[in-house]
Amino acid sequence: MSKLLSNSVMVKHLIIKDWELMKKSIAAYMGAGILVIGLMGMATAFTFNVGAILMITLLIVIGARSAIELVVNEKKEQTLPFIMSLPISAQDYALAKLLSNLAMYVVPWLILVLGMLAVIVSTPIYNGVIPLVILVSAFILLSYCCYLATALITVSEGLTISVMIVTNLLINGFIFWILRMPDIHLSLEAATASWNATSLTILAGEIVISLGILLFTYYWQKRLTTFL
Amino acid sequence: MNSGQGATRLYYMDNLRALAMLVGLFFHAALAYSPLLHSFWPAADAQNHWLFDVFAQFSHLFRMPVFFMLAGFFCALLLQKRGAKAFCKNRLLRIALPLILFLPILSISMMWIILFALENVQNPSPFLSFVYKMMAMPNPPPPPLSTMHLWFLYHLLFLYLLTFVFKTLIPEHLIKHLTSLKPLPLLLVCSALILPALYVVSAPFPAPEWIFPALWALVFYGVFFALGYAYFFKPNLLKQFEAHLPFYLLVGLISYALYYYLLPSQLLPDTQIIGLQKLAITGLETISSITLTISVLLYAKRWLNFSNTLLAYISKVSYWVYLVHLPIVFWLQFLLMDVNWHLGLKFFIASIGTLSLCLISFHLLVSWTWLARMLVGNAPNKCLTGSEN
Repeated sequence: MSKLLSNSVMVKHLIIKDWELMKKSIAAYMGAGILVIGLMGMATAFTFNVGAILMITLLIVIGARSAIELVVNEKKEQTLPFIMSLPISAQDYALAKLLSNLAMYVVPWLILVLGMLAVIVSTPIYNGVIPLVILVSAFILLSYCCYLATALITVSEGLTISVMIVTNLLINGFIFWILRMPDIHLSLEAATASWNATSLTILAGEIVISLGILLFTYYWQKRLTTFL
Repeated sequence: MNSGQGATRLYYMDNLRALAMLVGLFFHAALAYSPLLHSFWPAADAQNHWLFDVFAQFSHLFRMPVFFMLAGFFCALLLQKRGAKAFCKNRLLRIALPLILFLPILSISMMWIILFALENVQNPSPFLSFVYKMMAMPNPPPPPLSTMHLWFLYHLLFLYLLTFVFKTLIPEHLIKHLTSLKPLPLLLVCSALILPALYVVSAPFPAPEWIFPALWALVFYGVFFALGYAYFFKPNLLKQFEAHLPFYLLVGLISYALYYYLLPSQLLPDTQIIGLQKLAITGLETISSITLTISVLLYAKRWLNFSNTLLAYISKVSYWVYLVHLPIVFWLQFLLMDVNWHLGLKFFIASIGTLSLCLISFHLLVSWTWLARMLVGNAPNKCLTGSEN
């Protein structure tokens, strides 16, 4: 790690470059995020459902765009030769990509999920849905880790999009799967969030797999000696 | 980028903020004696008079819009003078931190004052009677989460985020076009944005004090914030109204008179206006709000652009007074509820008493501490341009 952080100034510059490239998209997500939280905060069943669907869509779009724009398109649009001319190693470059992608996804993800939880806690919506919301949000984060890892390791548009499609299709399957579990669906209309062995195991699994994927990607990138 | 109006001190901005803060204090003091809000105001007195409504509803139409316009102006000034990084640091310190610090303190004080009223007030208001009933239930529901009167700071933070969003996304040519609009098209654009926002809420528009950003409030106050922001870079945008300022003021006053006439005598769920009457009342609310806010700003520029020790002092303490005045108003109003005095005298005691307690508490508790630096910022005599709250 200390070796990878040795060129922290250049890593910082690359992250700032990615921020500048994504600034317009981030501004749009931010506007959409405020709209979504405002809609959910109206606390009617209709606006909450519309807000929840928009929220999931937004989380998927943010992840997909950042992975494609910041990793895949960099190679496609011939930006890599320019990067190679900079005083930076392949490892620094890989680390910058991992950090900028994570920052540009995890921060909005966290804000939107916390906003959604705040809506649930402060409205008449049953707090029993909190475990479901957290499990689905963590699954979306896990999906993001999967296609970010694919993009970083393969730098292939086709493969990244394939993983994106598969993981996004799995979100519906995941929701149906956990809703069929008695431990999850029986507590949905409870006044308080009820965490039980089932929901905690699923959440722990999601966290462990997400971290595992990120660590694997990090160590894979660490082995890189050239950009190509 | 235009250099804006940051070169000389604009005294009228500070003076206007000081006066708007005072109007806010009198506004909250008046609501206890308002027939319109009798069912809603926690400290509603048994006595009330329509004159309090005339004053309260009139000031309600432009007081907060003026604050948002000033906030937009100072947002532009701060961004231009210090850059985005310093702007974020400054706003976190002067808007987000006071919100985080004071919201729990004020919520606890307010709860304590309501409990005090429940135990001591002999002639409870309809609101207090309702709370009595709720508390008598076996499992009383918890009180709703509220940002109280700090909703202003809360929504301001969202408007700062939206400033970044719009600055990044709106093309330069569209901004140029919008900021060079003539008065009538500008009024039409503002009205087209504000009318739907106000239509979805009751009239008079409520305080968006819930724990979530209210979309209607972000649109409504956002328009005034944007006008203030644009006014910094393009003073002519609002200056062009000066030629016919009495006319705009008259339009504001007439539309307010009609709006007031159409308001129900009491705000109750079954007296909510709907249909065409709601559209008419919202239209009048929109017109009067825009024209009165612009008129207030431009008349302030004409008459208040001077250095005055008293106004400078009020401006200096205004943030503290804004933060703490509401629990004190409530407490005094509750104390006065069982007293059989003339309601004019009660109003006088509630408002002047609150102001006095706010000022005393500022000097005893704040002026010598780090809080003063956070709340007062640059003292007027130390800074070239308007203070940046």
